[in-house]
Amino acid sequence: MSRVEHKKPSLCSSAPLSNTAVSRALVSFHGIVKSCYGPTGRLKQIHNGMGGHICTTSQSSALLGSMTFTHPVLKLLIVSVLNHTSRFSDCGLFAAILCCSLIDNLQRTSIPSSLAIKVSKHLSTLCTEYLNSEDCGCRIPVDFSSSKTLFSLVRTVLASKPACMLTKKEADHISSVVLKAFLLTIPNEVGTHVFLGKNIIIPVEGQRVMDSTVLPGILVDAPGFHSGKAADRNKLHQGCIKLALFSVSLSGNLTDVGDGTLVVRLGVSLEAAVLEQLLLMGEQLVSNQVDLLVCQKVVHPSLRQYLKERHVMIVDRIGAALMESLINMTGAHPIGSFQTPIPSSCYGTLKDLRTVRFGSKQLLHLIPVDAAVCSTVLCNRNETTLNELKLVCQTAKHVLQLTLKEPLALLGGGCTETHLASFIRHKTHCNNITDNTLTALNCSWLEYRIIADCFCVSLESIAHSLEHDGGETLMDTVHGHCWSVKPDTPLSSGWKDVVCKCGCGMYNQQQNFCWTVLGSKHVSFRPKPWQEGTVVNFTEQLALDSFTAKLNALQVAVEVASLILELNYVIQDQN
Amino acid sequence: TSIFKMQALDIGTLVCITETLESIVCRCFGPNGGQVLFTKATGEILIVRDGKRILESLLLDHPVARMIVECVSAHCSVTGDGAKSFILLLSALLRGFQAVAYKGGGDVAYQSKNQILKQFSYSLLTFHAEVLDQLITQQLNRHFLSVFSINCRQPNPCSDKMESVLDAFFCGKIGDLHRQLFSRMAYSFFNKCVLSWQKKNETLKLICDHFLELHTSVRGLPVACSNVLQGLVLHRDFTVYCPADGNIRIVVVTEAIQPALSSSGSAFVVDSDSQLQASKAWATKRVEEVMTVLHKNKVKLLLSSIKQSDAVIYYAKLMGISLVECLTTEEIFFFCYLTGISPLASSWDVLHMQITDMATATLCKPLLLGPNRYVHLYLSPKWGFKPHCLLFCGPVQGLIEQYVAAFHSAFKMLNQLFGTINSCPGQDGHKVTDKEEWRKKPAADKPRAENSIVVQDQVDKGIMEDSHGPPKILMMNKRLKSSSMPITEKRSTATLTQQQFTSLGSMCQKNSAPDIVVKETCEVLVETLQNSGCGNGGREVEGAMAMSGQQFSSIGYCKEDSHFDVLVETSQGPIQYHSQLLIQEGSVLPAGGAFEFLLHFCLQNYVQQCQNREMKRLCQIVADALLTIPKNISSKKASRHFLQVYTQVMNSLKAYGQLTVPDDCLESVSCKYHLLASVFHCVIKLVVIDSVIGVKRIQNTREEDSEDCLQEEI
Repeated sequence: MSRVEHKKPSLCSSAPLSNTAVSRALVSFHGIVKSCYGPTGRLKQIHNGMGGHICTTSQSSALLGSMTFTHPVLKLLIVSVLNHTSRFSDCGLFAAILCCSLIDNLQRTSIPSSLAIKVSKHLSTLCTEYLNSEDCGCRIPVDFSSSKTLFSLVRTVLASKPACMLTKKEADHISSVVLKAFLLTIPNEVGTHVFLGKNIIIPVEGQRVMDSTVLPGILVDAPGFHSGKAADRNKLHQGCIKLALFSVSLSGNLTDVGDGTLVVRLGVSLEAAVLEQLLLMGEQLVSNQVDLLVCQKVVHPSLRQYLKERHVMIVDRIGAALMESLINMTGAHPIGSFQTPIPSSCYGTLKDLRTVRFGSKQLLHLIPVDAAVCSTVLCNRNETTLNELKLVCQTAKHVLQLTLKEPLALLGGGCTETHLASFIRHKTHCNNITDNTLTALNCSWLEYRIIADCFCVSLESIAHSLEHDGGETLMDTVHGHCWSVKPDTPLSSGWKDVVCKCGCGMYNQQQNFCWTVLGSKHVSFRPKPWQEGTVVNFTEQLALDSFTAKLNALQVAVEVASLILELNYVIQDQN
Repeated sequence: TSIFKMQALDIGTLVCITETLESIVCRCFGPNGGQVLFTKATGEILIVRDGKRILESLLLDHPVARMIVECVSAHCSVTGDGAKSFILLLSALLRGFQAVAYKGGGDVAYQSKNQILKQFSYSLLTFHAEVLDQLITQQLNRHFLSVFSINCRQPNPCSDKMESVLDAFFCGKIGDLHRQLFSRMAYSFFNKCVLSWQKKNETLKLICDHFLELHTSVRGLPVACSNVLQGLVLHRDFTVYCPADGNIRIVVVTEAIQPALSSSGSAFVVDSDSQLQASKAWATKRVEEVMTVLHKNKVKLLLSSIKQSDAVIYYAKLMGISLVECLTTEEIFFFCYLTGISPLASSWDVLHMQITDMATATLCKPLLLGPNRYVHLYLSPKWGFKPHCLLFCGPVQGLIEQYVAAFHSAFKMLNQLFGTINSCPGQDGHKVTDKEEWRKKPAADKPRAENSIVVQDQVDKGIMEDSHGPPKILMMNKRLKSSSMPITEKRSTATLTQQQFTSLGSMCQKNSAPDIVVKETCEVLVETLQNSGCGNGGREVEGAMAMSGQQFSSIGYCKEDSHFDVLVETSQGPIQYHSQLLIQEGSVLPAGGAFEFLLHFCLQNYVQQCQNREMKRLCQIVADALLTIPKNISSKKASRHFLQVYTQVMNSLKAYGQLTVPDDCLESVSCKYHLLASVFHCVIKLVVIDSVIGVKRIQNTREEDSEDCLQEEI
């Protein structure tokens, strides 16, 4: 009987953003994400006061996932950033920083929030249209005939996570491993149904980073594997191993008896009965000349012994995760029952079978005839760096997949943000606004300028937060790229002598540019797009970001900021 | 033992309570209102602007406040809109009543104050029936616009007017940011789903009833990615997927295909090893047989509501049959309803299945939405509904839920928009002496063949013996016996109404005893009337008949453009009910308070002509209360905005008799009318309460207090 509980009434509070507790929480959160951003970002260590798992990271998914937040406004922000990263894997910190700066800046103005939200949505649409247009100055088409841009993409993702502790050489090596793995997952033939293959990541702790490698096929943990007698080695090298794949448990347990009771007479052994059927099935396998039996679950030891004597290799307990890849790789049908004879169409083929060793781990390498499945072995010195490296490689893989769908990349290193900011400033200059825009938004020119200013300041603050060592951030007035200056530079020299390279690496100090400090007042200009002739470093490595991920992050950040600014009332259920 | 705690309730407390609710609700009211963030104890976040959601999530303590919230929920579940306006109107009316009660001065005794209020509230009913209906038909009707184009009498509404109706609705429910996107999406969904515009009410009803199965939500994408998809989406992934082209046959199973060795309550006795082996082998063989039969019948997709065994998955893959497992019962039910098949219960059913147990889809493929893969089916139209479904995207799940709820309410509102409202049918003074006279009416007045239904009770008085009131006749579906699907009886009567009723009518006229009998004739009549757009008329007729306690033997009805008649043949002779059409289907007015201004103006004029003193006071209170809605809309814009608009509108009405409100969005009039009716009923219910009695129960075994509150009505 359910008890009718007396429910406590809810706790209500109005105008949450004017509450000091909330604004303080938002400010400290803003500080945390800003300090984690970029290749020189500071790491955060998250641990439970009672002992337990310690996490050292600067990635948004790990950071935000391990922290707990109590205030619902902050929770709203975190959940939307986490949802974005679950879809796109990258640019989570970008979204968080942009959202916090927008809320901060727009709140400080005295413009009513409904108007601020409308105008910021309009500005965000302007940005999206510009980024999607042909003459966008900060995007680069990705050429799939050469690996340079893809390599730059992966390299940027790896470089932006300092917790992996990789030297330049190691970073290059890992980038090439990730790129190779991605290319291996692309199938050779293009039929009606094309699927990208799978890339399985296997972490190994304790080895040097340079030991990481990618292998075609699947690596299976098989501690007690015996590869059979020497006589069969000839068959192995011939390159066709017949494989039977079982999805049902061969352990001899009587499963699936039904809802009722089972009454067993004296003298009847259930296990023996099932074992007899298993051995019958084993006989059939041997007569069909099967070389390898792979089972998703456990194989009965008597069956193992029987098959071992007849030179059939056994791999069991591979788990449900690897089943789909095995099916794709070998063409085998997973067999679901051992009581009936197995049709011959269910068998699959493998090209080769080897054992490989990584540190203390012994793995069985199943090499396919021709398939798009590969395994990446990632090595790093300790658990923290290894976890971080694993996450980063998964992000890089996802970024490459997104680029496959939309072959564009955005300039990294803060250049896209400053470029966009100067574009918006130019567009919202008094000469360029039409009366239609103002009447459609139902606001005055001054209000429009103020909100556009806030928007641009928020974008520029992201570029500024890449600098953690106290140096200065500059912007050039031709292309709108972001340049950083080391701290402790003498003030007497002009900017031209102090700058080295722009954030993305496209331009260096030999160009005839004028620089201004980021965030200071300057004459608004239309940022010019890049041209093949003037660009110096196009063949060298650029810092590139994923187009789809960043675009989505921009839209999500503006939407969530609008949502939070619109909140008028908070009701908390106390039950 | 119980302890009673009695608390007197007077109008002052009522006003206090409603004003508290008003202060919460008015923050979110109107196009410039804000949003409310609601967190549950489980950590879930909901972002709400919908009044009903906000009120329900407050978990109020005071029983009167809970009663008000219940009234609001009941109103919103029918009309889909108006929770905040309800509270605003309610509080304004109660303030007016309070002014009346205190006018007598402080020395008026408490008892007589209550008496005054009670009389006053009962006169609200008379006001509603006489004054309001009269005003609407005579004066307000002129100003109503219509979503249908005026010149041509086409059954489909103008798209731009429909979009502006939906615009106004979403502005209040979602806010300014995404309303254009959603109003376009809602209209295009409605457009795509309707098979024929004559039967749009049926389609709307189906959409409202099954909205939860018609939508999918995706987290992590911006809201602008929401759109309408063709076909139906099942929210599970394929366990086995075998691509197939062309028309795909589908079979639905609800139980395990592989027979279990024992079932609950029975025991499986194992005598020897070989018996066990043989039994297990038989079970697997059985699965193979079943799947072979499916393969022979060219079935390409198997939908299952439970998890099937490994052997089933194995044979499905071998035979090239796709398999989807663990579908919820609601989805299975909706799928069967849309395709007209019934699910097969056991493997025996599958082995003996017929062509009628298989549904056909034109396309079947996996659909990747966000991180999930779903099944996407293209089905053919049925029940006047072309299967389409909605896709909602958003950054957070709580926001998506807000959009889903708003959409659901939008379709409920459209249902109201396309229904007609009739005045309460009164009995015609003229009693038709016999059926012959009614039949003698000119052909134009006679019920047209497709609209009339004649039902007679015949058979089996034995069933009727214990029933009181109008005789209920029982209808049994022959098909219902063989299938084990839990179709609720209401649905079965709905399916039979359209198809078999005319044949039933003709059968009855031949005076042969039918072997099918109709259950709860009143419900059937109500449903038919609602489906043909007679709105609340059916219920009123049912109510009137139940109240008079007469037994009837047949019903016929006839619907015209401006009224409808129901002829009931009772033991004392035929009686005719006549109902006047108040508000036509598709009537709209500009949003932003036009209805309130208009009614206010007409009531002011009526007050000047009215003779009855009490009615005069009541009309004045209602007229003043109506103005709170435009006041609250304007309060967000500028401080004197309301007064400007008020003077503008009143002047133009007085001078030219024209309504000019500075807003181009439209609102449904029938929703407004329903809102007024619900508010009046709620006021009457509240004012009539005299005291609140709290009951505390102390149990000896455990020291728990459970508090119940009873209300005593005097």
